[in-house]
Amino acid sequence: MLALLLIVAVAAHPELPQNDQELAQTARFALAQEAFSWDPLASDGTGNQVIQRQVYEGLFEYLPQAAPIATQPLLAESWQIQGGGLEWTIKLRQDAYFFDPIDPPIWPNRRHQLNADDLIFSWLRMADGRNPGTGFWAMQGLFAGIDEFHRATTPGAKPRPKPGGDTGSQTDPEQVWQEALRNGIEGLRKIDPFTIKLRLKHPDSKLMVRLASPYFVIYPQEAVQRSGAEFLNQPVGSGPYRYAGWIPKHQAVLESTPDWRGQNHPDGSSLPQISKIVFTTVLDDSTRALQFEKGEIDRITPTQASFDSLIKNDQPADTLKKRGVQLVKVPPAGLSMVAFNMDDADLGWIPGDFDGNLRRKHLRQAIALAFPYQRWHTVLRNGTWAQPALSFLPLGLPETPELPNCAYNQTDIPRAKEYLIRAGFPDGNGAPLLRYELAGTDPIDQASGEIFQEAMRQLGIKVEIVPNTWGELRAKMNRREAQVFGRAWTMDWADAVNLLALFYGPNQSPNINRSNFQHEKYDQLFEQLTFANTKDRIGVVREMLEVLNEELPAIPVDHRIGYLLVQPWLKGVSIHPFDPYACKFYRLER
Amino acid sequence: MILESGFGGDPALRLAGQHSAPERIAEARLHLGYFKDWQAGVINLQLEGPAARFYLQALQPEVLQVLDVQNRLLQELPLADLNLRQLQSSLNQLALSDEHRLYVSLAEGHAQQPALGVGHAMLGAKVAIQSNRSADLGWASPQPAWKRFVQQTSKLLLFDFGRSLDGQSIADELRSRGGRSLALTVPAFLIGTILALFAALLAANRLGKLDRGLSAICAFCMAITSLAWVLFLRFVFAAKLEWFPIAGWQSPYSVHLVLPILIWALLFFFPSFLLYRSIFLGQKAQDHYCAARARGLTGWRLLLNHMALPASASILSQLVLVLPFLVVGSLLLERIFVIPGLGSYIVNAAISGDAPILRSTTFLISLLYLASQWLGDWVSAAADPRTRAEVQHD
Repeated sequence: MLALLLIVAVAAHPELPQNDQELAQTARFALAQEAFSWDPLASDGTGNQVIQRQVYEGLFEYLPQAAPIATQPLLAESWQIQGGGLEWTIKLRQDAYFFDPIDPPIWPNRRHQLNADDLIFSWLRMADGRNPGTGFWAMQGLFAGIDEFHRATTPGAKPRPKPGGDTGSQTDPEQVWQEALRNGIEGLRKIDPFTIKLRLKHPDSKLMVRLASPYFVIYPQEAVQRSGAEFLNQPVGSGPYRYAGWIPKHQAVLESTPDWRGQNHPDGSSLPQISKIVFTTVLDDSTRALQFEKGEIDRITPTQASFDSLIKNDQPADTLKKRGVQLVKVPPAGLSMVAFNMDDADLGWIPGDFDGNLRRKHLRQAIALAFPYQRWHTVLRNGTWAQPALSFLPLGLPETPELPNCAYNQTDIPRAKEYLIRAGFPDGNGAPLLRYELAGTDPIDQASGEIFQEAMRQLGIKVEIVPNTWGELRAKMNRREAQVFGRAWTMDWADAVNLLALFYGPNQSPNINRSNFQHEKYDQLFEQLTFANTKDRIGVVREMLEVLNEELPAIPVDHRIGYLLVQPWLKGVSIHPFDPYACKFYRLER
Repeated sequence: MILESGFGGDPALRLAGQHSAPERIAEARLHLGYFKDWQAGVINLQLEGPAARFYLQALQPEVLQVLDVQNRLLQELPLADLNLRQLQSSLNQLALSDEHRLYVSLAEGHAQQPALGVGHAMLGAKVAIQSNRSADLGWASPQPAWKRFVQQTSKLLLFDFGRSLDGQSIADELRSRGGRSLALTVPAFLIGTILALFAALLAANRLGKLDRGLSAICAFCMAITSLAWVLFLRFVFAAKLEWFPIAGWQSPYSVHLVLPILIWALLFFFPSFLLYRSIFLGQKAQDHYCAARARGLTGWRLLLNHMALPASASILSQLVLVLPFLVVGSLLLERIFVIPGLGSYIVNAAISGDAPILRSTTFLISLLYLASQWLGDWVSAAADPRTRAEVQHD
């Protein structure tokens, strides 16, 4: 057997068949998540986002530097803001063309000029109530008429009725859709073939960063009509890369778009510089780590399982360092937390029950004070790749330095016991049994439950660890049945609003407010922040954080720092927290 | 039907996704064939009074439950014999609390429809009724389970597998992934089988040290878990010796397939050797073998004609049973070596509760299994006329 192995091995040495020239110009990346669709309607998963960002473009994009977080125009050529920030007139660049890589092509020369109709089609398609668009929430309440459009295109939906009256006549979604495609909606109109006018419901100083998110990309209506249900396998975009091969959930191959309009790197060089990119989904941690060590992939984000073998003392491991492997750190852009279900009778908030609410608040505060932040950091973050949370917002945001810290998210057992007495459970006597819901079945999930259980034991509070698959936990959260659970949120764009929306009352489960937190003052402040033209933005955010820090619908635990190892031949990699694979800025020097 | 009835969680909840609203869950049920018809916003509810929140839910379609914010049951409304107009008046008279009143309005043209449709539309969703916010209830007419089963089965019989929950064509995936799994398993199966047959023949013939040694090694190696073998052999031959790539699936494919094929063959060799050895030893105890030896036959002629050939029916019938598993591929090897075959496809579908994939692959594997059994019988009969005679005699 061994002899056979030897013979075959020599005959099939991996170095032999590769074309050196092609290899030199091919970047190879391993994704830890599955990419299963090129359809921008499914752009909420990291895997899909990464591959789609190479092919599709939006009006704006993030500057390649990770900090400061800023945008630059991409398909937008110029823009004017009027009406107190409510009206945005945006001119599209006229040298942007879609490229159709699919045979037979839609257009004879495979190229077609991008225009305002494509923008209106793409954005309205995300808001179409008949489509399962995962990014509609990003435009909800933003443009005038978008919510009404969504409702009118939801099958069987009717206009909002008045109390006591009938709910009115039903609308035909197809009619509403066709009408909107022809004439736009109130907040999204075509002025001429290359100019659109956005009318916002409220001024939004972070509109450009929001529009740089993957939910606002532009693609041609003809491609969706041509491919139908197969559009998820046949992308047509205007980006620097085009689809060149695809095995769903496994591999996406991209090649630089022929005759692309071109773009200059901030350093003056012409983009894109890499001619071919291969993204492969590699779910197994150890395989990704070995592939990186052997140079089969060009960058890796070490996870909990492979971190210690790849990173030593905050540096690449010695063998990697000798080879010239670089370490890039990604500033934190999210929050890991232990969330409470505020609907829960033992931990949450009950309208009208003032004494009970106060007691339950003290119980949450006691739990937060007993939480073992250091142990969590050591076991779950390898003692390295996270930054303790001072409050609910990561440090990189412009508002953060002026914001108040949370007084409860540091381990202080004597103080926790005091708060437990205030909650009416001295030494844990009479305290309810807590259910800590796991979000997966791997040892890391189990460890998180055990850490919480052990910490609560010090207060005399019993914790039941409830095993779940991620799907089961998601269903429990949807039904508002999960009591205590770990949760991580990565921001979609650099705006405090993106995180603060997690606790906005109307966003309750099954929407993103999984804590089902409802607080009148907080909701009013949130509406002031997002739907009104507030001048004292920092003041409003400060007040909102004061509410969260005191009420604790979740314990802010830490902000994960992205660690990235880059092979010496891959240059120009500055990892952006909201666009982790800005491949057009990379270059290969093998 | 079992898969659709909630294996791995409610398929509609899985399909509806993370941010699913009650309307989304109902749309998913419509898509999955649970509903013949569904309409959103048939009943509109508005809560008047100070800030408060209540919930409506239907754990079964026949009963609408009203809960307070602590999830305590306030009231149950039986829906079985009501129409929507009657349900509207029941909801209007609902005693939520002294301070709160519910305003209920009904969309035009629905008054006479059975209220049970509201229970069906709400299944799996919890509708929050909050002060100063409007909430809608939908209406659905369910598809009987037998009809859904017939629809789905008839599609399967026509090999119309439909699309997975993430929208991909299942037939396309089965075709392309099945091919990749076969590229891994068929060569491995052939190598493992030929080596095991050869070694078992030698061991059974000579007995003594070779037999004892090989049997002991195989028994020992079988006691070690496959995962450990895969990781160890990859570490040695790919990571340390660098004879093979660590993982991947790209041209030239043979380079990426060699190591997983050899590992599969090795893991297949251990149990196969022990099985074939015992079959050959069984033949050795037969009269025809003793008679052949007594006639002075030795060497390969004895082995092939009087040990291997008479055992071929049993061996072939064992081998054909492995065929369906060749198509299904190897979950472990496909995952570790990043080969996009059917093994990883099925397991990922089981984890994510993708019922359409599981339904299609279960059907396909059952067909293959039946076909392989039929093939096994046929091969046995062809290889050993006595079997055919027995079958005919029976």
